[in-house]
Amino acid sequence: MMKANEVAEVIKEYVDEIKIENVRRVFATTDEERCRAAMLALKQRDVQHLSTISGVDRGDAITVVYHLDCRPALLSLKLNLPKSTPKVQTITDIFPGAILYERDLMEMLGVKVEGHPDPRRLFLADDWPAGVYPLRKEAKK
Amino acid sequence: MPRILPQVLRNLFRRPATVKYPYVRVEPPEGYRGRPSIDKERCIRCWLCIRTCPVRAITVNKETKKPSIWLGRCVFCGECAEACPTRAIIMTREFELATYDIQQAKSE
Amino acid sequence: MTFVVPIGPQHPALKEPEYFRFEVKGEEIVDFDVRLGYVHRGIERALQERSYLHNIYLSERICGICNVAHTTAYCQTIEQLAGIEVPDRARFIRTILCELERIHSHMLWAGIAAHEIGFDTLFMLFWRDRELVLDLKEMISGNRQTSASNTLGGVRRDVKPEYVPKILRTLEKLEKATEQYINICTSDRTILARCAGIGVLPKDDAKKLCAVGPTTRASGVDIDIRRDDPYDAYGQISFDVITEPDGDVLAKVIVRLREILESIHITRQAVKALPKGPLRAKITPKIEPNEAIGRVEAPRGELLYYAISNGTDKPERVRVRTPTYANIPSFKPMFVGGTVAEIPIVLASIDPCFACTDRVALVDSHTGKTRVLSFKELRRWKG
Repeated sequence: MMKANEVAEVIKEYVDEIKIENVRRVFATTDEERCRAAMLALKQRDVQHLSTISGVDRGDAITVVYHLDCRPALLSLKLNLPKSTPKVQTITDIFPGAILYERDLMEMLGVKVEGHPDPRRLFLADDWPAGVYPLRKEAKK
Repeated sequence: MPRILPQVLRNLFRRPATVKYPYVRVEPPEGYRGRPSIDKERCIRCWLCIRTCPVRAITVNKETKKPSIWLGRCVFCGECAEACPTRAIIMTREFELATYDIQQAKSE
Repeated sequence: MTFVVPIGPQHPALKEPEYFRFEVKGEEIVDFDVRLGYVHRGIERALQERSYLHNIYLSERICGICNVAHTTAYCQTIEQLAGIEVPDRARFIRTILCELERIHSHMLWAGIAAHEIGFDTLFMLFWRDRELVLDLKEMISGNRQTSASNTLGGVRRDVKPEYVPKILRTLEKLEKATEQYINICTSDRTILARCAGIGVLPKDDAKKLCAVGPTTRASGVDIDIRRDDPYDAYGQISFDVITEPDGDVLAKVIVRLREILESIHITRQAVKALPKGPLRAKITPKIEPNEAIGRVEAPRGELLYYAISNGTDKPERVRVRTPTYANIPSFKPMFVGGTVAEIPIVLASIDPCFACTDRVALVDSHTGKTRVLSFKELRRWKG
């Protein structure tokens, strides 16, 4: 229901930089305080579909990317976290569909999701050593 | 009466949909990607096939100094046949590749 | 007083290992939990360690049934990263392959669903007609299942003009058969008794839990990547998005069967409008730092690839979100309140593909212990 420029208009006060690739792709960077506010603003505009949450290890920082489907535009909201203590607030109260993606994020990249209703492991085995995160760069090959 | 009954009755008088393999064979169509075969005469040892193989199934045979494809690993994608500048590698239509001897699970 | 019924990892209903835990009160299911990860192959990490070209064949093997969807999404993402345009003819060929795959996948699913409710005659009929599509796929791509036809910048094989009459003939046969199946599925007493009104996913829940694909379209949510985010040739082709309001298993059956008709329609248009031109564009092995997202409507729903490049010939990160992964949270509203006898068909109704879902971690191991029943206990039970 929203094109790329409309999405940019809605979130512009919550984000640092917006890159509009084309009508259907928007990338934006935000910080921890304003992230939830941006999502609530989008939710107000009837954005209900969270496509997924990706976690990326950029070497010195961990980037969490929320892919929000604003139809036809797809917004990728990026959040840079320090690698020593990566933590985010849960968004399961805004988008209940995020529940598995946040569990995935916790076990694969060691990002702490505060307030998650069910912080068990999702994919990894129960005897997987604590503190080893397979998608981080330092994980053994 | 069950809705599917007319179809079932019709099928009673039809030829079976299955083929009695291996007594009756269905030839795969033209362009089927079966066992890759290597023409050693044509090979110019550029090793492009080794570089393009996504599963690293191709090695160099120490004796003949020509490529050898291990079929246990080959995914039959046909990238090597496409990359080969002299068309020494081609994809044949052979698909019955099961064997008891590991030495035979190779294409050289 | 509730009991726990563990189902899996070795399954009576599905052909893939996954563990489900049902809390039942008498016949009624009161809680549901799932444990994923029995078929982990570490593919997301492996995608980072291979070159862009080799990754095509790895992404193809994430899922056997929707392999064309996976390679299309992967190639599309990398093409966006490198900023290259795919030739028109290649885009149409990709569309044809994607739609043939959708037809075969839906037929396979319909057969399985019929088998799950004990209607094996229908199962055989569906699978007999599915062979027709597989023959077409074999003719076009050189293999029944793993097509290996998509590549970076285009496709590797052409749809030759002499194929066109055979494709059109087969599609006609399929169309007739599918219409008959829709007729059977909407009126047969057995199917209505087993499918109507069970495993209901309400529209609100489907939206809230971010479900995708036919699962959510059967709940009346109008969402389809082919129309919302057109890729390949879908922008130039007219088609309808099929939705059903009811949200039960029967609606899911009907949505999928009607989607087969729609796919036949799309394939026919694409085959007839096939433009002339080259098959592939050139792409350099190294890609400058960039990021891109590719989305494809796989047979099971929205498939998302997110890739970041770093200037080398290997990607920095590739994230794969498969449709079944997105549909798993919606199991809960479908099961809770239902009965134990419904489990197989409701489980099958989202067309689950667990090999797709479990692709992230590095190892695969049994669950040392679960809260309900440990592996040791399970072994003892068996002995």
